[in-house]
Amino acid sequence: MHVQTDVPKIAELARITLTSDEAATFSEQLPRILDYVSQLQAVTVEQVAATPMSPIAVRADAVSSSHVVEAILAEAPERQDRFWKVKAVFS
Amino acid sequence: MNLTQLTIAELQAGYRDRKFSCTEVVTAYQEQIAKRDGALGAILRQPAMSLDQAKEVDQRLASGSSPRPLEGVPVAIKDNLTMTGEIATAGSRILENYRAPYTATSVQRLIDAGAVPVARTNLDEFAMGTSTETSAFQPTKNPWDTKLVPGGSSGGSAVAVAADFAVGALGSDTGGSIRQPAAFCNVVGFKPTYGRISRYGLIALASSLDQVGPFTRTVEDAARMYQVMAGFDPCDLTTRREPPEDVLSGLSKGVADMKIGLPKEFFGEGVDPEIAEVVQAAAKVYEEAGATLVEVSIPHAPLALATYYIIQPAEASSNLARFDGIRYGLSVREAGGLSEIYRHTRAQGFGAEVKRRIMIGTFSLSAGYADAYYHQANRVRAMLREEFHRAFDQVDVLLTPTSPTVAFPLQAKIQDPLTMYLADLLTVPANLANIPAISIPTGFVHDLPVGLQLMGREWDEATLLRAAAFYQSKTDWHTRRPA
Repeated sequence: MHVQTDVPKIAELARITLTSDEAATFSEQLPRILDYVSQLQAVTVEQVAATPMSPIAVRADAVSSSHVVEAILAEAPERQDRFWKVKAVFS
Repeated sequence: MNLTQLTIAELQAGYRDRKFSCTEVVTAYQEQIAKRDGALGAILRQPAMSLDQAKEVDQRLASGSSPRPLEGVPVAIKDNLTMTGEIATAGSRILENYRAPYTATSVQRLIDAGAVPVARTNLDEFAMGTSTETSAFQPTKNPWDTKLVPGGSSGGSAVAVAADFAVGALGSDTGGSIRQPAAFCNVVGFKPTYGRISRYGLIALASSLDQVGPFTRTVEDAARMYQVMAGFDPCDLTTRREPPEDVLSGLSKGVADMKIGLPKEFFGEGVDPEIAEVVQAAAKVYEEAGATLVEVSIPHAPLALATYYIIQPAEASSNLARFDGIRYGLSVREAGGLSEIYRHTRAQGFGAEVKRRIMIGTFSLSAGYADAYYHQANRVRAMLREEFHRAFDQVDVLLTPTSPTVAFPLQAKIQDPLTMYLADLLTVPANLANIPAISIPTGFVHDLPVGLQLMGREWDEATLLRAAAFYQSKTDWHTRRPA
């Protein structure tokens, strides 16, 4: 039983442009990997009470000053003043 | 006296008795790296500040200040842990020139305790791998046989300790990435309970599975590094609020009172029978000291790998969405509009394994598949956790092999992803169950190191480390070094 994978659609969702070689390789590899992990679908899960993780603590919603703004912006591929510069979202 | 072969305690005694200085020790490690790393490829970069920091340590010691817990201890840091002003690539071209604006809490705590970072180590790209071969920059070789892999994803850190480039090293473990390379390289590799050590500054792979942990030669040194790093961090609210228990004072109390469980699912299909035999012999060492061996069962353990390879890629696909060419890292701007920047940056910046896992994760989370894949995997995960809890009602510690095989040749598994994933067979359960686990040297098969894995109750690092330290008090596998 082979899981149907639409590699171009998945690549689109993942925002990665694949070369045709990559698309071919992944079209061959992904179904085999997904077949392997699909064995979980046959498992009937008993009712388990416990949640997997400890409850997440929260902290006070208080503002503190940050000294790293300039260091962060120094890594920006393109910046303007205190902003990251991007291409138009709506073109 | 070989300054690159001392434990933390021996270093601190030497500093106290003025047998040598921190500057001499750091210089010795730098010379060792210069001499041996060319053939091994474990080190990506050496921080410029190391000698200055060593001099500061010497000044502190000379001034009579009482030494901090890791005063003057040279350490290596996996390249997915940030340090202010230092490049952190996570093994990827997409971060090839990224300079971090902050230091990871785990690293900062080592530095505040007096440790001196001397190297940044190689890893599989974004910690995705079991051989360090998916690094965008270079493969790392196993010092026991340089035609073999050191394991992964923290291969560089494992080799750094095995080849005497540092006293201790930091790695990260999401499905075995500390324990498996430790087993392949004959060193100690320790993954604490999820929530013990802050993940702030660890470039995320899978946020419900990632943990930071130490590589060392001895369990005692791992315990010392752990004790310094563990504890609540307001920058990572998945860390435990309660202060960590002391794990050092009870370390040599022995195992006469312990019940050691051998889960049968970890000794069967998929595991090299010679490895299983070596590990069964290790269990006898415990029995001879008065511990009780108990056969236990984790019935859904055979499904752990499938569970892991749904949850981890799903969380990775979400975490790696931030690499979009906008705020940091590689940015392919010539392409066109905003959407093209995303697609081409990620196409050029990510390697094949990273793309593969992002796509598996994207699929598992997509409409129409999320329930059968991601949510089902989390249900099975909860079941696995429950099975481990029930096992720990009967025993204090679980004992298994760390890896189903010894180190394999470079290039042997890189063409077949599933074969590579199977290397994690015995290590992923501890990450899924959120329990602590450690790999310690336990002998050789075909002249290659074998790791003994011990797993403990959630939050019970003290018992786990005591069990591990006991084994090193009775054996000398961990003292062996590659030629």
